[in-house]
Amino acid sequence: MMESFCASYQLLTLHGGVVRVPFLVRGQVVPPPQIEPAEIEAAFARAESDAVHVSLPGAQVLRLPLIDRTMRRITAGWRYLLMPSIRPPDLIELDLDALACGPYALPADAGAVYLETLIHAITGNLPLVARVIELERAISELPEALLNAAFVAFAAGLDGQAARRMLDAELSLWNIPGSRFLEEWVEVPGTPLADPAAITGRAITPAAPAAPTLIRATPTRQLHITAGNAPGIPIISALRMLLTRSVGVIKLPAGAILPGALLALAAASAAPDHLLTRHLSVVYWPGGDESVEQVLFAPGAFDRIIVWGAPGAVASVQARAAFTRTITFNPRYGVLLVGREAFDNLEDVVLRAAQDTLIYNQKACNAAFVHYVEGDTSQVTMYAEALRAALSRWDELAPQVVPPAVRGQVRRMRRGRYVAAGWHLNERDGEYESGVIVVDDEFDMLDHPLFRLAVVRPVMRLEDALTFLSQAVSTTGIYPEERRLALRDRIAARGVSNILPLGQCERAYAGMPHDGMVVLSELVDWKNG
Amino acid sequence: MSVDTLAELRTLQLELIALACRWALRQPYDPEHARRRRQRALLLAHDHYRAHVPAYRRLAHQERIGALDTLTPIIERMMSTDDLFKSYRQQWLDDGDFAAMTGWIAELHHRPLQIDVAGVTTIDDWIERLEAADVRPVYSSGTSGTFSFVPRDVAGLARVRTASASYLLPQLLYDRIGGPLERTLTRLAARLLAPAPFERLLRAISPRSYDGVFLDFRHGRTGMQAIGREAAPVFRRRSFLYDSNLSAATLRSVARGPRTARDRANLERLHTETIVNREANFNRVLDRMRDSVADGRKVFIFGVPFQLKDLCEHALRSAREVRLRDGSMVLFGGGWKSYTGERIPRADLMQLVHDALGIPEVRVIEGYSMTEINVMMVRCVHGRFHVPPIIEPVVFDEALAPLQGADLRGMIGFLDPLATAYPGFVISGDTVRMVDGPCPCGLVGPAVTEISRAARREVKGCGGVMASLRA
Repeated sequence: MMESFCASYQLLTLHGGVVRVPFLVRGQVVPPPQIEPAEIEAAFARAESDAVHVSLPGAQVLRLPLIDRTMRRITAGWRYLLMPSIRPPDLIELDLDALACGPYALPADAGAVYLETLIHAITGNLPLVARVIELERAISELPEALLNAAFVAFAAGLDGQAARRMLDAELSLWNIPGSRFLEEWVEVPGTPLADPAAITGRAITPAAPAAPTLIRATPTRQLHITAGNAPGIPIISALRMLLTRSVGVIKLPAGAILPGALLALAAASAAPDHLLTRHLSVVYWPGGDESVEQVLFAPGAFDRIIVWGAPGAVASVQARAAFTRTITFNPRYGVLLVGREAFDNLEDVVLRAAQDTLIYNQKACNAAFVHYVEGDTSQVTMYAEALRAALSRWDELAPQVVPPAVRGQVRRMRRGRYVAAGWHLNERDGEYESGVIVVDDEFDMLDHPLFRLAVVRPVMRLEDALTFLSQAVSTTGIYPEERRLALRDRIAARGVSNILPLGQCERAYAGMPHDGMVVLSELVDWKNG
Repeated sequence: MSVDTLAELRTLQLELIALACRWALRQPYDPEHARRRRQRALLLAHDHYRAHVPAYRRLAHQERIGALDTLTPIIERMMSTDDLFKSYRQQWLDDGDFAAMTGWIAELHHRPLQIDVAGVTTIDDWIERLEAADVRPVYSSGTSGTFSFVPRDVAGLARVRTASASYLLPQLLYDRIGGPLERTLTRLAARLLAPAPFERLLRAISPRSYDGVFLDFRHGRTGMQAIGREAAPVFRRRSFLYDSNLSAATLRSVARGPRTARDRANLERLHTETIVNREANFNRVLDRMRDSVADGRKVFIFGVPFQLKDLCEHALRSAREVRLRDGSMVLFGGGWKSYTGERIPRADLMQLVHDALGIPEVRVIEGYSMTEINVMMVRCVHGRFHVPPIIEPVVFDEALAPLQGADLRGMIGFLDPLATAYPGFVISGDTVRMVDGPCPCGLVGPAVTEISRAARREVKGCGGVMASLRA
C-alpha cells in the first residue's frame, strides 16, 4: 500500500535530482504538484545564491547539498526536495465536539495499538525503507553507520509495549497506571481541604454529600515544532502525540523530512480511516514564515505548542502564542567528569568517553562536548592523546563527512583564541577529521564546531567543574561510579537533568523524564470532575 | 630584521598613505603600482613580526614559513583571527594576575614588555602601566564579556592619524563636505606636501569650523572611544553624551556580573549615568548643539546607530529637535542592532536624523573598520565601503580558503602594513560581499557592499542555536 501510494504519485523516488515528498494533512496524503527539475533550478537561479528554500505555485522546494560518501565530502551538487505548499487553516481542528466524540473517546490503548500498526506497515515495506535510507544517505550529515542505526532506533521507538509502559509511567498518579486516567474518570483518594466559601456559607447553604474526587487526563491539540539535526526528534514528537490519542501537527525539521514523510505514508496507508490518522498532519514550512505561523500561533488554534529551539525562537513563539501553553526543549549540551581513577584503566575509560561524545555524531543535546578531567598536566595530556586515538577508531568505524565550515572553524580556533591550547587532532590528507583540544581556561560554547571535537578541561578536583554546570547542561557522565554517587545531588541542584555513568549518556527508556519534565504529563490536560 | 628593513617599511607606509590620498582625491593613480608597493610592505611586515612578535614567530615556525617573496603563504596559513587578541585566560583577569596578562600581551607585541604590576588591581590600572611603557592597548568587549586587547603603540597611533587625515578627510572633502574651493586647495596640497605636513594642514583647517559631539563616554579605551579621543582635540568645542569614564573593569562587570563591592558601585554609577540620567544627558548634548547653531557653527556627530537613533527619538519625542547648520555631519560605525537586538533599518535612521537634527542623508557617513586594523572604510553615496589602497583585503570561503574574483562573498580579512606593534594579518568575524572595479562615485578598487556577522557564531544542537556559554 505504501509502495502503491509512491507509485501513483512518484513519491520518494529520485528524478532529475528531485525527490517528490508528500505531506499528511489531517489524514490525507498531499503530493506535490508536477514540476520539472529545470523549473526548480531556474527558481533557485532567480533566488539569492545561498537560498535553500523557494516557493513555486502550489509547491515549496528545499535545496540540500549532496554528499559524496566515497570521497567523504560535500559536493557542489544539489538534491531538491519538492513538497506541496500548505494552507495553515487546513491544519487546525475547529470542531471540538467531533474530537471529543472521535479520537478523544478512543480506548486508552488505541495509541499504542496504532503505533504497532505503523511499525507493521513500515517493516512490511522494507524496500521502500531502504530507498528512503538511500535518499537520506545522499543528504544527511550523519555518518552512514549512525544513520542506519537511527532508522533502527526509529522503528524501536514506535514499539507498542514500550509505548504502553511510557503511558502508564508518565501519567501515573497515586500509584494508578497512567492509561487509566486517559481511559476514564478515575477516583483518587484525595481529601478535600477546607473551603472558605463553604465554611462561611454553611449557615445558609443546604448540606450535600461530598462528590467523589475524580481525575482524568484528556488529549489535546498539539503543534510540535521540531528542530535540530537528530532525525529521531519528529518521531519522538509523533509518538508522544499519538500515544496520548492527541491530535495535531508535526512540523518536520529540514534535516529529517524524508523519515517524516515515511511516517506520514505509513499512517495513510496502514490506517487511512483511523481517527488518529484523520487528525494527524505531518508537514514542513521554513521556520519563522509569518504567513504560516501567524495562523498556527493564534489563540485557540492549539492547546499545546511544543518547541525544540533556542531561547530566541521560543521567546518569539511565546510572544505570538501568549494564550497557548508552550513546552520548550532548549538547546543544551553534555559534559563528562572524569576522576583521576581513570588513569588506572585509561583505554577503557576513553572508549566510553568517546561513545558519549559521539551521540548522534555530537549533535544531540546529551552528547558530551566538554570533558573535565582530574589530573596534572601530563595526565591530562595522556587522556587527550588516548581520547584522540579512540576518536580515530570511530573515524574508521563510522566515517563522517566534515563540512568545509567546520574545518574553517577549527582553523579559526587554532589561529585565534585557542592558539595556546593543546591540539590533538586526527587528520586525513592534512584536513581535520576529529580530535581533542585541551583548554586551560574557560571555553565559549559558541566556538564549538561540533563534528567530533572534544574539549578537555583540566581540573585539580572534579568538584572544581561544578562551577560550569547549569541549566544549559543536559547530561553529565561521570567516572568512576562512586564519584558519580557522591556528586549526583550537587550536580542535580545546578540544573543538570541526567547524571549518568560514563558511557551511558545516550540512555533512554519509556517513562524517562526529559529536560526536567515528565513530558506526557505536560501534553495532556488534567481535569477534575 | 635589520634597522634598514624597518626603515624601508616605514618609508613604504608613508608612500602607501600618499597613494591613498591621491586615490581619495581621484587624482591619477596606478592600482598596479600600489599593489606592488603594498605587497612589498606586507612582506616586510611579515619579516618584522617573525623577528619581533613571539606569537607570530611561533606560528611561522609551526607552519614552516620563513622569508617570503609572495603573499600567498601568509594569506593561506599565517592570518590569525580577531580572537587571537582574546587568547589569554579569563581566570587571570578574574584573579587579578596582571603579570600573567603582561606575559600574554607581550607575546603579541613587537617589543619586550617589562612593566611593574605591583599594586595593579584592575584592568584600568594595568592599562595605565602599559601606557607608561608606550603601549596603547585598545580593547573591545564581546557579548560574553571576553575582552579583545590589541597592543598598539604610540608610533602606530601617530601613523593612524596621518593615514586618516591623508585619505579619509580628503575623501570626505571630495564628496561630502567640501565646496569647489576646498576641493581645489586639498588637491593642490596633496600634490605639494608629504603625508605628515599634509595631515597637519588638513587637521588645522578642516574640522576647526565644526563643534564635535561624541555619543559615547568622555574617557575610555574601546575602539570607538579611541577614535573619539584622537578626533576630539581637533574640534574647537566638543561634548560627550556621557561626561565621565567607562572603565574596562565596569564594562567587563556588565557582561560577566559584578564580583566585588567596587564592581557593584561602578555598575550603579553606570546605571545612573546611562539610565537614570539618560534623558538629561540627551538634553545636554542637544543644548550644546543649539549653542553651536546660535554661534553659527556646524556640528560633527560621532556615534553608533542605536545611540544616534535614541538621541533622535528623544529629540522628537520631547520636541527638542535642532536644525543644525548646513554642512553639519554625522559619522557612525558599528552594529546596526540596538541593545535589545532590534535591527534598525537604514532608511528609518536616515529619516530620524533628518527630522531630529536637520542633517540630510548625504551628510550622514557610515564607516566600517575593526579594532585590529588601522584604516576606516567609508560608505560612499552608492553604498560601497571603499577599501583604501593602504591595506589588502582578502575574502575567505567557509573553509578559510582565500577566494579570487571581482565579486566575492565570504569572511573578510585584512593584511594591514601599518600595523607594526602587533600582527596585522587578521580575519574578522564578518561575512561580506566584496566587489572590485570602478564605482560611480569615482573611486576604484575593492569595496565592501554588504556586511553581516559570520554564521559560525551559531552553534546548532538538537534544540536549535546555542547561546554563548562558558564551559
